[in-house]
Amino acid sequence: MLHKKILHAIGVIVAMITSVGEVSANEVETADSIATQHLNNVTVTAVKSKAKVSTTTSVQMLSGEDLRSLGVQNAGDAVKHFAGSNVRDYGGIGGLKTVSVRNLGAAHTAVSYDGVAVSNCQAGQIDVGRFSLDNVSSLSLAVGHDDDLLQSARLYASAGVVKIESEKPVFGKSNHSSELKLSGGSFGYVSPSIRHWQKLGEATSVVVNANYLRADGQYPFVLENGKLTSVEKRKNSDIKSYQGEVNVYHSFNESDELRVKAYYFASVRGLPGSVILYNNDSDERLWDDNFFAQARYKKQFSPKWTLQVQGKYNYSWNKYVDEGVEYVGGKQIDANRQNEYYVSASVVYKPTSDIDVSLAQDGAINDLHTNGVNSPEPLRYTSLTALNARYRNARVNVLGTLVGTYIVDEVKSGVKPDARKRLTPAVSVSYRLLEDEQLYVRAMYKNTFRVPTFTDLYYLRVGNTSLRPEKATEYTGGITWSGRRLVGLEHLTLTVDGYFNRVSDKIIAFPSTYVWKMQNYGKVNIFGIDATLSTSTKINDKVSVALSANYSWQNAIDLTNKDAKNYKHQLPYTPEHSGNASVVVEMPWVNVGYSVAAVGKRYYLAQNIAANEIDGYCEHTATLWREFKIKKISLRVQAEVINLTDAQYDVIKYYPMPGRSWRLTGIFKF
Amino acid sequence: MKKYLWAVVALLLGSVTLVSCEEVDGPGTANPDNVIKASRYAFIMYEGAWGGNNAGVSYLPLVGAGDMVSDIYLAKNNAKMGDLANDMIEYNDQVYVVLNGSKYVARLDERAVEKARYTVSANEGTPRYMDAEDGYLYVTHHGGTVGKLNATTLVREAVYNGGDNLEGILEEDGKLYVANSFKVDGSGNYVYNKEVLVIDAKTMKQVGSIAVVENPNLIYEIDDKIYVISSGNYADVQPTLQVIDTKNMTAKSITSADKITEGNNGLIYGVRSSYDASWNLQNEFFTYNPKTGVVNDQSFLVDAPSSIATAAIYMFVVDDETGDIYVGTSDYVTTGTIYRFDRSGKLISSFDAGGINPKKMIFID
Repeated sequence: MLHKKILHAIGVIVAMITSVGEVSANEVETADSIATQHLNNVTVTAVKSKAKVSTTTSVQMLSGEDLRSLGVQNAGDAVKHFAGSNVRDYGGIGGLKTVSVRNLGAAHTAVSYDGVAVSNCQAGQIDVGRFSLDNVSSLSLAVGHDDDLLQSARLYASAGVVKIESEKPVFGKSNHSSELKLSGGSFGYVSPSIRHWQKLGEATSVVVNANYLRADGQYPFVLENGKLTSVEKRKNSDIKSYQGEVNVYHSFNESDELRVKAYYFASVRGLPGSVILYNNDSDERLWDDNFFAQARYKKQFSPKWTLQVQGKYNYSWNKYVDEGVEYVGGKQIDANRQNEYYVSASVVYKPTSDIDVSLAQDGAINDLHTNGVNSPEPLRYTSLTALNARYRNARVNVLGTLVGTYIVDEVKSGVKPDARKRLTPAVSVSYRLLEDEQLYVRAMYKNTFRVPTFTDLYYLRVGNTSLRPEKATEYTGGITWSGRRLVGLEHLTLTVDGYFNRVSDKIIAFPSTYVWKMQNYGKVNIFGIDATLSTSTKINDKVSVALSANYSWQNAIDLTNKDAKNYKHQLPYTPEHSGNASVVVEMPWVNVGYSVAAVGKRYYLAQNIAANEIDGYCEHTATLWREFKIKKISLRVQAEVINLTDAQYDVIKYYPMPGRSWRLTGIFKF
Repeated sequence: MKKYLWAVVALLLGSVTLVSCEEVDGPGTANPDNVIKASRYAFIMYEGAWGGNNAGVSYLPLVGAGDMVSDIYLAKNNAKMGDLANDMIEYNDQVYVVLNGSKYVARLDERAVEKARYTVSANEGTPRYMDAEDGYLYVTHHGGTVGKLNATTLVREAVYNGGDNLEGILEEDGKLYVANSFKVDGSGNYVYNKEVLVIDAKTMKQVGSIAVVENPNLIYEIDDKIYVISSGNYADVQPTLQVIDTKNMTAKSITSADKITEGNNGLIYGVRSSYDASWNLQNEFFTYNPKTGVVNDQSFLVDAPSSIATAAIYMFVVDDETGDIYVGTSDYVTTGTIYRFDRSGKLISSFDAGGINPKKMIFID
């Protein structure tokens, strides 16, 4: 049966590939024959290389068009397309999705939205599933950090960075542009959205967008349980969310620009929890409210001096309700409110054409208010300083970074932890091996840490104010190559990186007979290889094919306790082998996207025994879309089938993922 | 060249595909009836991990042939037992289990084949502990109810409703002694109670209450005396062993203790756990002589391995026939370890419990 399935999957892939070749060849004629009808309506664009080859660290990127072509719905699903990412996906449209870079843990990953890091001092990890990709121009994943010297200190302080950049307005002859989008699909999914771009004079433009989403989320799944194996439906998995943004872009002059964003998000959703055998109770619900306003001002004083100043105010509130007779009054309500006040200034000085030096200084104040009795109401002051120096010539690119962190917490009750001070260095280098070839070797060393979250420190009974920061060290080296105009190919890019990461003083909930306590207990070594490939070709003037694939091998072992039964065992939810591939074929009459994500077997608990194994899976997604243009109005119609083979799988054990589902989207631009 | 490139691409994609797509296996197939060959054996119930649906019962042959089976419930029923097993008792040659996460009570025969089940309704709290007497099974629930179930059919015939979150229960002389342990307020704060409820088993009406140290949890009957262990408040009030005077409805503290078990030598064995400043666990094993009232802090385990001194003691049982002492330890994430000592405290063997958090053990002849 196993072989049959593998053969089937390979068959699908091979058929797909060969059919691409065949269809492409056939379609040269077909396309020609209908070209007179449709050629003018089609824009053929090649997908750019996803992995950057000249950066000193691994940076992978997907453009907004890539994301749409592949039917990617949210940032969490997008990151799954990158080598070295581990996305914990609890399933469903409202399910939590967190990103861990090369298995260092989600709290070591920074998420930046239009240049400003998104923070969550309470939980430490960011739910990337919340970010809609409707108006995104690019999404990238950098291991360590990318080569942008003007970024905030926060983005240097993490072990990995997910960057989401929203689309800047582009105007033609008209001073405005609007877009209406309606998307619907399986499990009661409906999502209308609207976007409007307006030019206000020569130097100012405004972008307004709003989005509503609802889904029942009641998808069927197979619950394997021996003789009692049954088809069940996911319950309490509904979601409603509202999101809106206003962006103002203003250029004072060519070297002087301001960008202001106001964002609001609200949602209510059921939390279906893990599937419990013989028990269908599911009463947990979550309400979220998030508002932030951020501004970024950038000025180039001279070719040698550039300044960037950013500021942000963030308000987030959530309410969790669980019903049950075990609570007095029949329900438990946890309400949490966080505020953040954040400023960042960075300056780049370029004394010579080879050398850049930058200094970034961030300051933040974070607070947390909860409805619990004796809540310590923590208030955190953070200072982050990043000093960077880069030497770059035609062949060599060396970047050194030193991040200084100083954090002080104030509490209204309980023990106040000591101030945390730490210097963390990073150095990365890239060397172009041949002058006339895009062939590079690169290496990076980075030392980072994550500060204990408010939950780690102060959560009732579980919190521990004596916690030390959790340290992460990354060593990585790789080789990259990109060629253009190869025989029959527009480009071909290959990257291979090997790495060794170490996490020490890992913060984990350490059990005792009755009460769990957060402790600096864990120690983990992670070895891995990430390989990526991307290429594109034009079959003829009208048909192009873009293809990318990646593969990751990972050996992440627990070294916490040599007497433990999981000593040197692979960490939970860490496949040894994983990868994905995608192909986009653009043709005059219809465009096709196809992607497959494959994840090998994993363990859902710490001990690598058969009882804890989770089977591997392949998920296939197919997309068809076409754009029609009638004068100034364009209509894009897109159909997607997600999980084409109706594979039944879990990313997180007992959080079943949906089987085959579909989505239909229409986008009017006028 | 193009063909070659497509071949490379197909190979790469193929390798990606090979990564995965394995057949989803069921939890196992039913083993034939001859799995249980021993004439005397034990069942070890392990709790499993929260949300892991990996509670189970392992089979340990004691007299006669056969190997240990890590999940005899699965082997015999071709279905998993479920999530979070909390209690297991033997009564009238039948085995009863309470599943806290999966919210049911089941009767198994002595070969672990399930014969009857009581499913707890959605509007009732999770089941916790049980005791059986006179053809009835009494089950406590969080949310304040005690169910009175026909021990054969598991049909619920009566219910007491009046406590908060109830834990341990014991039937003695027609009365139920129930730990009215704690309540959780609307903001998730825990409030620990200080009473053991006394309920008439026939009428299922409360007839009294006994003041105890806060957070009563486990209730034992040893040599016709009732002992209660209160868990304390995890801060300044330590877990405390108390004995109940049923006539005067009072409780008297004996010593600090987390778990006790009855030896077959007239002594009560106990263990108490504490933490040092670095949150390292330290276990102390002691004996209590109920006749003299003396607590002896000299450990009865004469050659305990060092690992046992700092491990979470999750199970603590004496084989009433041989006097062997079984200590089950847990690290909460990997399968537990069972240490078997003879009645003089010498280590006989240690072995894997078969699952996470081994909690209860019964001996079947």
